Amino acid sequence: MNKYILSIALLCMAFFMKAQDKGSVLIKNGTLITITDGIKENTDILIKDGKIKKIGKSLKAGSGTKEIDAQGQYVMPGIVDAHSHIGISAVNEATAPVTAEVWVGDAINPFDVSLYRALAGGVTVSHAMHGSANAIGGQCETLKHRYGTMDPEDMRMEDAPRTIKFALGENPMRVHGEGNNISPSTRMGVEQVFRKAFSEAREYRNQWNEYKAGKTKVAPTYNLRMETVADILDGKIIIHCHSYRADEILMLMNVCEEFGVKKLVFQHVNEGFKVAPELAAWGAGASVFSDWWAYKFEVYYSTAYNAAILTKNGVLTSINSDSGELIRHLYHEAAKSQKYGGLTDEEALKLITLNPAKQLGIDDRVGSLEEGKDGDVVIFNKHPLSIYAIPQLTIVDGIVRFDRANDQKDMRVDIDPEASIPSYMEWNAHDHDKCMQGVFETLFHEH
Amino acid sequence: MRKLCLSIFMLICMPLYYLSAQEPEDIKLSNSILIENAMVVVKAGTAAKKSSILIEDGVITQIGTNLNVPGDAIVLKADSLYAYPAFIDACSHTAIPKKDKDEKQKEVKDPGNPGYARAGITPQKSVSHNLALNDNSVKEMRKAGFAISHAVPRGRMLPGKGSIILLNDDDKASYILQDFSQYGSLLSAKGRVYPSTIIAVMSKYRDLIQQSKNAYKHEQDYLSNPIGLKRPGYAPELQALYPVVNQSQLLFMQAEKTLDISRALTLNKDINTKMIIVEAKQAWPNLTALKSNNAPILLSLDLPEDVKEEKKDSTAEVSLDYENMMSRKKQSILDYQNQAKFMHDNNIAFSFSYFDTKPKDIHKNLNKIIENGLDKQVILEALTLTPAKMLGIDQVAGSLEKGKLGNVILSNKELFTEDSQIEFLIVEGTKYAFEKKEKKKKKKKKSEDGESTEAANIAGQWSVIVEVPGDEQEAEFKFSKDGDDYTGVLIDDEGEETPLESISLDGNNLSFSFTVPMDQAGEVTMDAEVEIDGDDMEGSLSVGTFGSFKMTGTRTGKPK
Repeated sequence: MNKYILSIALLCMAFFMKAQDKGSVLIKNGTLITITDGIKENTDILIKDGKIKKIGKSLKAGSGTKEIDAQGQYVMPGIVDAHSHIGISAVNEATAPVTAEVWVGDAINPFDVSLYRALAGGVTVSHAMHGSANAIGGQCETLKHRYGTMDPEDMRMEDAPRTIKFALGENPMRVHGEGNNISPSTRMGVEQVFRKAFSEAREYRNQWNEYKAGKTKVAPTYNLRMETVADILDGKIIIHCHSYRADEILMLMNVCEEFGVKKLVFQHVNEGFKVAPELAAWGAGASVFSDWWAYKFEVYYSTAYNAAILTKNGVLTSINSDSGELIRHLYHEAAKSQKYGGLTDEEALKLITLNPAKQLGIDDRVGSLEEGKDGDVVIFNKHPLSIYAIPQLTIVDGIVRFDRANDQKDMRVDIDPEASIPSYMEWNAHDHDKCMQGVFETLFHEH
Repeated sequence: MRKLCLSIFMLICMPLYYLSAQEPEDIKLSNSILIENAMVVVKAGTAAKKSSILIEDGVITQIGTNLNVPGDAIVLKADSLYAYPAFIDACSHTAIPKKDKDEKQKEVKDPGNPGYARAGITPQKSVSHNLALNDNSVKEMRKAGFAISHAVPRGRMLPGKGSIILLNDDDKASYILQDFSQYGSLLSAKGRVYPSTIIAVMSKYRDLIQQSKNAYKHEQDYLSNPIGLKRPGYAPELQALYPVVNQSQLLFMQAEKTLDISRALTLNKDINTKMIIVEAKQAWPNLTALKSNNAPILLSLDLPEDVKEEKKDSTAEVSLDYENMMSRKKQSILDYQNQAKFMHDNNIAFSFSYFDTKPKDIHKNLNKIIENGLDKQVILEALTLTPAKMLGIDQVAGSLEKGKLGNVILSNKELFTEDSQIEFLIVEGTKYAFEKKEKKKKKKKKSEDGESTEAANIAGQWSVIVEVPGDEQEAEFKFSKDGDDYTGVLIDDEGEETPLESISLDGNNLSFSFTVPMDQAGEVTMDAEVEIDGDDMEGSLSVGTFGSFKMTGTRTGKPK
């Protein structure tokens, strides 16, 4: 008898259900890893209309509510990935060093099958980011993995705070300095890009305030880019900054300090271990890889102890994927940090749940199993930090979005009527986006 | 023997070619034309009734029986013919020749600030400056039954204003409404300049529209009381958008697939224009948003063809779940073909746009929609009354009533039936006649002894489009005859030529390959296989191990 009493029909129903719909489900007798309130063995968790209604023993659901027997299984909050690029149609507007106005939330792609694969890895929320070509890149979007919808609006995590991508070092230098022969072409230049943008935005905001106060009669020229940077200065947007070197990390903290910007999370942060006390004192977050580095010159100095050192120094730390592959086993990445750095189970699991949720400003909604939070849950067959752990069931807003027992072969949402079937499969075998861009650019000089 | 065959073939073909290429037109001896005793369908939804129509000076003056006909009227005996209001093309590039490919893109110093024109933003331009009523597209649209086109410019984000034109040959008399609309798309700029992605295009729209609003307010304030105000600057792009901002002009927004449509409509919540979605191919998932947009939609007539059973690749894994995937593909094709019916069933007013459909395929695809269960009268309405209302010309077009323009289709049978054919089209009282279609003589591919006989002539310049997922890539090929063989080159944007290899032409089947360098390392060889049909080619381009893509092309120039 299958423990997950869900017929294929039920799965299909869930799959094609309108994504904004909220579900109800009662998970019985699991080992609950609450993250904020220890381990609770043989405990039930009731999700009602998409929210966690009750955690306790011998809970009863109303008739019609699905029950899942999780005896001997581990129930934890859905994994949160603070850095990914899945589920969006465009990543980099690499034509200018400052493109604060662009927003990947304008190009959500709910058909990206990577979203389903992320669900298969227990990830229920991901932070879809702009790329790192520009010093001030575009705004990002926090996605809920309600895979199965055709409506991109359904993928948004409603009311999640606004975030924006910044980038330090070699990427903006290479793209704009080397590529287009404009500033920045050095690390010093990158700093000046921030200072200039912040100063101009402050001036821009002043001009508008004067106009609104009736001191000037003609409205200043509207500029969505400056509007956005001004919103950063006003504390309305959290900065997530691509970074590697310690000196640059200190630099950005100084610049932000000077301009009164307080919401700052560093991404990658491979040299974060060198400045961990400074990060902690400033209050900046760090979202890192467990053991990935040396893929370009500025990332040679790194350590697999990074996450542990940052954590022990009191830095709000998370582990992210930045990849459609890594996102499928973030629990392994958390386990690696534990193995290297000797973190406790709770510390290690926080790296992929509550901490990234805090960095995204959504910890009131997700990141732990608490009554009142969203019904985002993943059930593992083994302890999630075990190398043998495999996600069995992933639930978003009380709706089963992945069920290992009923994992269909063809999970595409949108079917191209003209694509030939074998070629579709070939597509998946390659990273076609990157490969094809290169080929066709050379051939036809497009884009 | 071969030579003789060839010359006989030429003899048969040549006159046909000439006949079909010409549309004999009356020398105008009179300003009146009488269509006598036709089966007249006055407007969509009404039954055909025997009557006559008198058109004087381009306007319908009488309709019915026992008309009072002036003595000099040209009489068109139409006893065996059906008369319908001529079709109205709600949006297309009719009469707009394709841009000259030689126009080279200037290098931009700062790709983040390419200037409006380079970014694809020229809303101040008017399609009227580029109209070419002698363009072949005008003839072809007439042949398909269209007397009026809403022509919009070609281009990227905001290429300019569209005009409503009559499809006759007289340049001066052709406008119904000049600079009627603004046309836009979500296409990024050509080359790597801002906006180079969909996300930047979306931001650019918000920026532009807000700037235009502010500039308008500034102008109004200055006009009412200039004291203490800076003089408004000259900003043709922003000024051109005032009517869009003020909702006095429609914004026709090209958006084909569901995500594009969703993006366009989401954007419109911010920019708040009167937006019409154009060339929609997959709009049914957007029903809710379309309803709240509260405007008709223009559907593409570029429908996917019924599935051909694909050869199962023996090397493909059995686990591919082939049967299931095939049935989903078939369902998807049906969904696309039934889009018009879906809109009708859900009370969304619709008409069509004609960007990706060749005029000669229009009736074939309309018939497909009807075959799948949509009523003929609904289609007729979508081609006449709906676009007339949408374009605000229903006072003068869309039905055969007294006082309206004399735009009439005369067909041998009821429209949208098998073998029905448009024999005459009257555009503002001017008659265009079309040759009756002979059943196409099948070009013999093989003679009796199995040798190939007639090879198509491929010499000339070809402009092709390769459909890669999520994008279309353009390329130019040039073939020249060299004895019995052909040589050819691929020409890129910079005018650089890459030679084509192993060009082989068997009947209408052409194959060739070429090798281009790749960004990172090495090079990639691409193999093309296409079928030639006159000045069109269609087939596939396979790119190394990356897969095979649909490639279509047209001949843009023939050697003199």
